[in-house]
Amino acid sequence: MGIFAEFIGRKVNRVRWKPDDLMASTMFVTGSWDNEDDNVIELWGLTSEDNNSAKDFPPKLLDCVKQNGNVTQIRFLDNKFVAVSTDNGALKVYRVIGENEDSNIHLKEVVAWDTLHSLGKGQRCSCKDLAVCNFTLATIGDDYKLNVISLNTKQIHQVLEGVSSSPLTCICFLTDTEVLCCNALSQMKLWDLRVAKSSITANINNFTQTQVPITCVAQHPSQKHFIFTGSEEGDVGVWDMRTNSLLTTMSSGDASSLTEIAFHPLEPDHLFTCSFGGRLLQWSSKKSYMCHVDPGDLEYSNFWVNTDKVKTRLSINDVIHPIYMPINSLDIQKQQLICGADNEAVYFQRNLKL
Amino acid sequence: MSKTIVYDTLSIPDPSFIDDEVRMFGSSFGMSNICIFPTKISGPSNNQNSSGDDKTERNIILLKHKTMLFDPKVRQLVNESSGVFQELQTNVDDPTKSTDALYYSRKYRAILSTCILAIDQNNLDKSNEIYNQYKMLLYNLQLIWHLCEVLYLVTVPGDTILNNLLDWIKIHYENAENQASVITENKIAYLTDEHVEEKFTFYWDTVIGLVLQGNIDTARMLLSNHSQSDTEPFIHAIRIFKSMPIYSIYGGLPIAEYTSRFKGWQSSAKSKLECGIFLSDSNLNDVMKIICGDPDSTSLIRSHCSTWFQFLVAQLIYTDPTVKKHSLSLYAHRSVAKYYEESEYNHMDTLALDLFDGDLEGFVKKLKSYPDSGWSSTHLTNLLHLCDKIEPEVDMSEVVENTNPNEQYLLDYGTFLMTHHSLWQAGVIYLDYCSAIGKGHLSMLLSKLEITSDLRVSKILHYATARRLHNVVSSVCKVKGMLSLQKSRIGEALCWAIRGQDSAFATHLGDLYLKEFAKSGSFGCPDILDNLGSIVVTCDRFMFIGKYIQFLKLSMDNKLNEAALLYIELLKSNICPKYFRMTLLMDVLMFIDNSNECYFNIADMSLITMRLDDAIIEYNEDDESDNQFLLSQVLNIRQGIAKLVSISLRKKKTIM
Repeated sequence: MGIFAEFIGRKVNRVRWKPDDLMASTMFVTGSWDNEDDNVIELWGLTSEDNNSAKDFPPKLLDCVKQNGNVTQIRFLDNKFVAVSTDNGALKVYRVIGENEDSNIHLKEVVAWDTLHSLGKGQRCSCKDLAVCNFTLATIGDDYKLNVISLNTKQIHQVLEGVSSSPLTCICFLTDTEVLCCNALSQMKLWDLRVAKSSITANINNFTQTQVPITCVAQHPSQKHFIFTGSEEGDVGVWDMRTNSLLTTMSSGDASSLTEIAFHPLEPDHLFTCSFGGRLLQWSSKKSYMCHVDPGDLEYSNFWVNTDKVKTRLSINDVIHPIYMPINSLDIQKQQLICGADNEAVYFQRNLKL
Repeated sequence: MSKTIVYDTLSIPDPSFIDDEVRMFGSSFGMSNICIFPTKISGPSNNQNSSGDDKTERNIILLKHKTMLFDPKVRQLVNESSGVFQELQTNVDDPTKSTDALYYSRKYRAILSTCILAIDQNNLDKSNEIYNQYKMLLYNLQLIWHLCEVLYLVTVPGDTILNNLLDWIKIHYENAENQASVITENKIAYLTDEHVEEKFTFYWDTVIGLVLQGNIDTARMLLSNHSQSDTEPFIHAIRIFKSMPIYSIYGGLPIAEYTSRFKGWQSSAKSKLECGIFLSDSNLNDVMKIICGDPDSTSLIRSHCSTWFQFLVAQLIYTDPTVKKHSLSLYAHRSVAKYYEESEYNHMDTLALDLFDGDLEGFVKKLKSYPDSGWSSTHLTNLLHLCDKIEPEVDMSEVVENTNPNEQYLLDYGTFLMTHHSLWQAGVIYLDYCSAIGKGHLSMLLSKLEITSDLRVSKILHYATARRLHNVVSSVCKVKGMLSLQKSRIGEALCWAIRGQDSAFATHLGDLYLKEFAKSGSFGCPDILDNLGSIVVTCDRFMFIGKYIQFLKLSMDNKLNEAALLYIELLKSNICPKYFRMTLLMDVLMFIDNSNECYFNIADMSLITMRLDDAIIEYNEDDESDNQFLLSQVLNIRQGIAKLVSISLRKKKTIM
């Protein structure tokens, strides 16, 4: 299948492509976990044998920055700035110093909050997840706080306390003023950042009674009102945020916890998930190439609303061979997919079939 | 032939050994662990005093081998091989998948080579002594693994094994070939008529090296590069080289015919040698002696071989090219005897000798002491076991009978990996394939893992849930729950109780909620309590809380009729905890309003009175000061009931 693997000597919790405007990315960042005191984020560059051939694996290590704790999330704000959160409650923003700025490519710390989330008294408090939208960062942590930070001013703009009573798991921006938080009791809460600080709750949605923790969340890239959640039991929930209702749930047969859920940024017909069971799946809603596609097919554009269609037409395929160890993270850019797993490897698929 | 080799001596700086009477007792267990107990041995003279009198404190000393597997660069060996191991095990169980042992053996070897490459890249100037050592260890391992593969996993029609042995030697001793390419690629010597043999001092060494690996074509090419190549002896030699019959399994020649051709070729070469054609060049003469299988050349061959197996194969080419696998043992022992003047074997020698002897069991046992912390013994034994090359050991004790012989290796290796802070996940894979014992180990080890982060907890729970190790799930959840409770985060603790299906813990948390309510009049964590989900089914306390909250909501919304029904239901079912009874009974006052509506019938009201009486009796039995306030409310409650009765009486009257 043309998959390459590189063993990097640390279990990978997050991996992200450095976005590139026109070309396919040639750099990515990995964040490690569970390596005692030696957890790092690393910047990697794809290499090529000569100048003519395309850049490929094996990657070359460009920079390595030690982190105080397991890396919980990495998000690029644009093609230069990258935000990193750790389970010691820290949030750091780095700038990738590229080839044209310095002879050796490296990461430079721009701004850092070492105890953005804390329980006081030196207790460990994790920053669970981090979401970005137009240079605004939102973080959630074990202290049940939601911090909103603007990178333009490098200041914390808003702090919402007591966002939940059960552990928060993931966060996602719906619009640049609405933030969705998910927790371990399968609850989702929508916060409107425009409302005054004290009565910030815009909307509390309680969708299910199953209480299976929501582990990851993604927004449909073009139809922004569709939200997709991954649960600890391996199924994907499709939500319509206009009605705050669960449209359908989908299951792949892999009942292990989903770790990341992501749409192809340019081809929203393709959804990708990875799981503790070591499987990286591609969920395609696109009609087969053999069929005639009517551009004015309204049913097709409302694919996710039509649950019957979801049940019958969705096809699920393995992108890489199952690897028997949890895959913790995946990222897609153009045709390239990258994922990181607990066997200390990063897998690279150059040409996704879309 | 077995000989004890002392690899390392270690002195233990423990005060107890100062005493001369203290001896060391110990046992080795698992993968490279040794446990030592300093024990006082009393002489026979003071025998009567010694029993239990020894009050001095003694340490129990645990020794561990420093392992190379945990080096950041070698960790990829562990990780990558665990994937192959898992794939192999699943494919064995799946009849539709092919399980070609050779394919997997090559995969493992490829992993070894990759690891050696990775080490090399990190140690370009070879200055890191540790990495040099690791490289050597892995390199030898690869050599021995390859030999095992050649002898046991490759199927050769007719058992003529020499060609495979040559492939093996060629891959691992590539020095001669590399030197040859240096010589042939040097065009300057060729063009300028320089004497190649003078320019490259290693010229003849290379020729002999190639001849000893059966690489006749390259050797011939070198000879024709020689400055004297157009003289008589060289022309003859090159012709002999050219006409050497090469045995090929698929070449069509039957063994007998090949042998006669080979003999004929060799005798013609020998006659030329004996005529003294080659005497003009002593080196060439030596080469021809080797080719003729002349016994005089043995010492020459020996000096060109760095190991005895290289020596063995080199001799076989010109003495018995169609050697069968079963006669290898004899040749092997002979060449060892010839190669070593005194019996001085190292570990590698005994391993290779076992393989040539066909003693796989012995080989596997010795491999276990190879200093790679059991990586090779685990994987190779498993592979050999799966293709039925190793039979279960006969002398195993009855308890472990019927279990497969490699299980102990898997168990040790898996347990060993579980001790590492990052590789423990790989260890789980190996323990998975150790039947019931493995499961026991796994359950023990998983619950003993240090809970360093939530990420780790989620992984532990994942492994435990998938393997139905409910005790691990509940113990981990309990620990996390208690930690949350210490931080007085009841909601979080409740999440863990739900996760671990721990109804006792949930009951405790429910009590906390109710007591909080009794004190402050409101419930904490409304977002959890409003959506309790499955916990209400498994835990009585939360069933009550759920109903009670529903009741509060109904009465808040002024739906008093429905609230009354629920209220009576709550009293009837008697699931209300003792300490909360008074609070619940006080709620009867809610039903007294100005509308003069009656929500209860006579039976309901007698039930309320009965419960009140029960509660008073109970409260009186254990008189705690906290209850005084509630008891003072009894009068209020009674008044309330009286009011309700009066309302209902009045109602009845109006109806009548």
